[in-house]
Amino acid sequence: MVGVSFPKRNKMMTSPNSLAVENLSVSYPDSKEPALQKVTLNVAASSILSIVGASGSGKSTLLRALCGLESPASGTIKLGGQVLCSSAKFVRPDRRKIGLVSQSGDLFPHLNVFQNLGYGLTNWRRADRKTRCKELLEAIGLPNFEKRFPHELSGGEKQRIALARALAPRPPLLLLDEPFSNLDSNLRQSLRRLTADILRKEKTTTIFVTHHPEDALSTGDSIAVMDSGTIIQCDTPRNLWRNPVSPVAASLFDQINQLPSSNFPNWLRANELELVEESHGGFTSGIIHEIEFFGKTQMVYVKIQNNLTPVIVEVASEEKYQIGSPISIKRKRLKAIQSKRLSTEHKQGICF
Amino acid sequence: MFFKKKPFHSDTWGLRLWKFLAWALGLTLLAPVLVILLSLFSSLSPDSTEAWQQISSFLLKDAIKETIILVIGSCVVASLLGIPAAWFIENFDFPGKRLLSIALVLPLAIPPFIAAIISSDLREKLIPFLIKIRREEGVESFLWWEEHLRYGCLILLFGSLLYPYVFLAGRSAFAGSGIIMGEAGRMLGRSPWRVFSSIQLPLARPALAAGIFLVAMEVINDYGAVKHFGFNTLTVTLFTTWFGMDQIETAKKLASWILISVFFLVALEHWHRGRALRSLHPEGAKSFGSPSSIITRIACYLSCLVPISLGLILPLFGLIDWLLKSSSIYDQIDWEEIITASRHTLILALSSTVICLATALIIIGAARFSTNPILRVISKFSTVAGYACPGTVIALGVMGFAVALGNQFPSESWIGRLLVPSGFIWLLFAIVTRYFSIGSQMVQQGLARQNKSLDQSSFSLGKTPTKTFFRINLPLLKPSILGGATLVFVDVCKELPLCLLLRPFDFETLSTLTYSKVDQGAIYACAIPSLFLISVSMLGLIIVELNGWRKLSKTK
Amino acid sequence: MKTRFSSPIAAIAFFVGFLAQAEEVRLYSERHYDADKEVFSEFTDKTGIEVKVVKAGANELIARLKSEKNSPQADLYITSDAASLTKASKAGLLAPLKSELINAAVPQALRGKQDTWAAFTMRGRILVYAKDRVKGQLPKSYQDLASPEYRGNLLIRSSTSKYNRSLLASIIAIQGKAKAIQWATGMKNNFARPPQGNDRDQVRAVAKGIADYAIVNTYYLGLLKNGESQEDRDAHAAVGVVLPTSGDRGTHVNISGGGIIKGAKNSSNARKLLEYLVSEKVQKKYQRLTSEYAVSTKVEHEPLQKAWGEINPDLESIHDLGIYDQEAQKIFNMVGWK
Repeated sequence: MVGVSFPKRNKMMTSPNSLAVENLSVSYPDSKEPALQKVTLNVAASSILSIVGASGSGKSTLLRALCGLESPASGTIKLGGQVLCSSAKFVRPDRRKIGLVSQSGDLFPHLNVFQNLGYGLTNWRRADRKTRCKELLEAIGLPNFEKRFPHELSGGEKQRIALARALAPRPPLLLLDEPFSNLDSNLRQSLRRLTADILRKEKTTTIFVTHHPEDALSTGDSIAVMDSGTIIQCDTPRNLWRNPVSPVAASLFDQINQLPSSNFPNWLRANELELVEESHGGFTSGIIHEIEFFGKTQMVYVKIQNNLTPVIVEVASEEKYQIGSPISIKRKRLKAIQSKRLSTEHKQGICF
Repeated sequence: MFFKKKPFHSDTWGLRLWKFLAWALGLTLLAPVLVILLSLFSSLSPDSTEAWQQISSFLLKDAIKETIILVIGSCVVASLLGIPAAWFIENFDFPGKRLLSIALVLPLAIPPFIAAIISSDLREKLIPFLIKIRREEGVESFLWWEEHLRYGCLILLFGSLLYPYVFLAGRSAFAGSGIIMGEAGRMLGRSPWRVFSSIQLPLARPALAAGIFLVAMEVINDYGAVKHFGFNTLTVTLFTTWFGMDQIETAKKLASWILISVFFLVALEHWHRGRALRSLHPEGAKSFGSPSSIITRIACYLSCLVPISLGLILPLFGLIDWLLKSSSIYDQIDWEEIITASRHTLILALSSTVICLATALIIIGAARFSTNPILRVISKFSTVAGYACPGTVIALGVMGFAVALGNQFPSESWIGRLLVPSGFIWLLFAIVTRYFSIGSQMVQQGLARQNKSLDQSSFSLGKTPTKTFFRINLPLLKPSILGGATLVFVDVCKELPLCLLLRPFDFETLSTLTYSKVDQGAIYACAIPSLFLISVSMLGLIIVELNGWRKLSKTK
Repeated sequence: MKTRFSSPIAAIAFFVGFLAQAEEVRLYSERHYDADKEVFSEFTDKTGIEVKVVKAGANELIARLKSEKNSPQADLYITSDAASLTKASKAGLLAPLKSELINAAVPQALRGKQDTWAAFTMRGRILVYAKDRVKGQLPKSYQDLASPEYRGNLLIRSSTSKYNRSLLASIIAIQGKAKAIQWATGMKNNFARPPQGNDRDQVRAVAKGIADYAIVNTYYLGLLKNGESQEDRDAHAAVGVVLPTSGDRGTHVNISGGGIIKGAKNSSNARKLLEYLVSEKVQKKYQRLTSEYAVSTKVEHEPLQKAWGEINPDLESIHDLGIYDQEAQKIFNMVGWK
């Protein structure tokens, strides 16, 4: 399901649900740094773009700007060729056909499920509304829930209904703002798959903001990494995993070690190192400081003499180590991890 | 907000109209206060200057002293009655708790003025003691005791009738985070008392400050009870300057000074409240359960029964006693008078409630959907205006405003007649300005509980802010609106000074009727209007308490 | 379309109705006694003129009258203070009474200058004392009460009461400002408690023992005697009455009176009502019902009033009450008589 081919650029641009953002900048009056700096991104029609980034990287601001809740200092937003926002024009939030699912779901507490789902469908005939509602409820696995009220639902059910509600009017673009953050990981996993299924069926273009790397990697057709208000890398999940453009990008997906040594590149993943006896000569040695057991793997923290932050090495769970014993660290692969020379488009933080 | 700082053309028409209305209403509410503040800087005519000198040199010092003593004393008593009751009700479960918690709020229905009159019978019991003092220790000692006993009685009266403000504030404060912190404290091995004094009380202080502030404002504002006890606070002095001496300009100057000092109090309270940590309102907060020891059990009941006896049972007994005594003059009672007064009270209360709540919704709703900082400031200040201004000050401001406005139109035209300074519309205006803050605070709290993301979901589904307000925010505000409406209604029914000062010709309310009857000496005849008044108020309060307006976090 | 006058019966009914409408008199009154209601209904029975009353405070009424100057909504202005009547007359709100009956029944001192108003009852401001506690010499005048020997032993209501203002105004008229200030200061120093409550409260307080002396209106004594409760009646029984003199004049009195409003629609009806109020029968009724004194010297006092003593009312000061009203207020503020 994840392997996707990307349609050619010019076809993308004129599709009814393709999103084109150009040089979008947003700044808040009380902070010196702009929240978004010249962000450019294109999302192909009916595809899912995941956005990851640390807090404060600008993810929420981007979504809010797309919705029309922030007014950009400069830049344009076009959805399916229609200008939503530019220096000359600004379409009100309620007129942009953009669906939004927020972190807390925000079901309207005083309306039942049917009324919530039908909230955005006021111009539809009643019969059509009922059909659409039934259809959606079946798709999310909650048939016959029409009469229930939000306070009778569990967390997972609420999020599913919130998703259905946003999808009900068949919006060309859907924004998901960390929708599964409040749920436990099993629920998150099942909802992830369900969401991806529905989005494919509905053929909605989606932007999916998350800070869980597994959500981003598994669900998105492409991923954009944001840091300090810009997109620092935008690529397919596999490419991103293999060739992150900077330690920042890499650290979002995995545990990394930053090493200021001149021997090799300045950062390495934990699973690219291995532990050997001191006598076997690794590139550096130290004392085992701590061991964390994660079931499938273990993380061993090694304190190197001239370094303060322990180096983290991933080892198999069967291997036994002693805290306090000296150990040596060796690189697992010979192939250097280097930043591939990326195309200029990627370098500038432009997606596609 | 709908969106931030965007060109004007992106607001909907509905939103634009709404914001305009909010501005207009907010400024209108501030007008009386501004009129009074202006007179700080105006110069007085020689006639008024003389009157002002009289007041400032002879009357002002005593007025200030008496006001301060009464305010501080009443706040202390109210806290002593209200805080323990709130703590025990929130932290423990015991049989009868629900009934007691409703009864604890009911003293608010009793106007202090009526309680003052009822209390005179009781106070006469103190006279033998005073006579003994006079005989044994001489006149000076008698005079000293007489004055201090009077202070004590009035302070006790105010404290007993107004403690519900502190009680309610305490309930909100001790629920939620208070209990969680308390549990944490218990786990660390501290006794309940230590937990209370070192954790819960400091955390609750800001909310309690708000309640105590309300008590202080009620005492400052009171005219009937204070006058009856022979004290001359700032409000009474203002009254007599305006009414007794007919010196409106001087009264305005006095009012402006009162306003400044009250604003200082408000600033103090806001600053104190601002330092509070955001309350947590965790859903799972539980009480400590049933009281463990017999001492705690007794304390639970005692803390509730003492305030109720002082503030509710005693006055009611007195009132019933009156009723029985007045049964001999039933045939002389002018029922028509009472019914007319009731009708007037009802009209006044209903119309002011509706206007207050509608205005509150307009102003606060507009502030929610707008980013204009000035609109927010206006929204905040229009709340403060009525909250912080003594009723007499507002009445003066409204009068000044009315006269200035009325002079613009010829008196014969229909608009001239509508705006005539003694018209009903100005009484309504003053009452709305005074009580606006109660309604708007409830609305504000209720609206703040609604996450902005709720609005945003509605926008994303294609609804304009106006539609969102009516379909989402408003239905969810129903408990707050009901609570605010009831409080405003009850307070307007009880209102005396404003009605005395600004009432239209031949317009008696139940409270002014009672006041005039007492003035004439026909004390028992006012038992029945008083009973009407108190019953209506109590009914309102009971309805609100039963609906649990306090627990607004649950919807549906 | 049928008009009102299409049938003769309707026409007559309408005409009669129109006539019936005309027979009314509208009152702006400060008085609020049940006795008035009785008197007015008897008046209506006798003359067929309906009496419509609007009650409010004196200042409010005057303000209202001023605002209605061009089209008066009332016919008769009644108040319980000579100062208010003088004020209304000075403001040009009252028309001359032009009634022989009134001139005959009411002494000149109790009628307004320029014939603009006339009194129809009188009440004295007198001294009560605790019968069982006060032995020996009783104070004879208001001025006596200001002497230090009565410290902590005197009760009187607030200076905001118009009755106290008029008392002080009369003292200013009789003895001059300086002496009046002395008197007010002396009185204030003798208060057993800061002024609170009304006259009835002062009498009750004397009966309970807070102080031995109080200054009250004669009207309240009557009220207490026929009082609502046993306590009131007991209070009345416990006090004795002194009719104090004031300087070289008699006991301070104030009046209830009325004046016809200038430009009133029903001025003749208003005159009729006022004439009715000063008639002997009604004067006697007031004496009985409210213990107010009659204005006419021909009317004999009630036994209760006789029991208080032979009153020598200070009629000279009546016209001065309006002149020194403001001054009195200033003096009250100055000496701290709240």
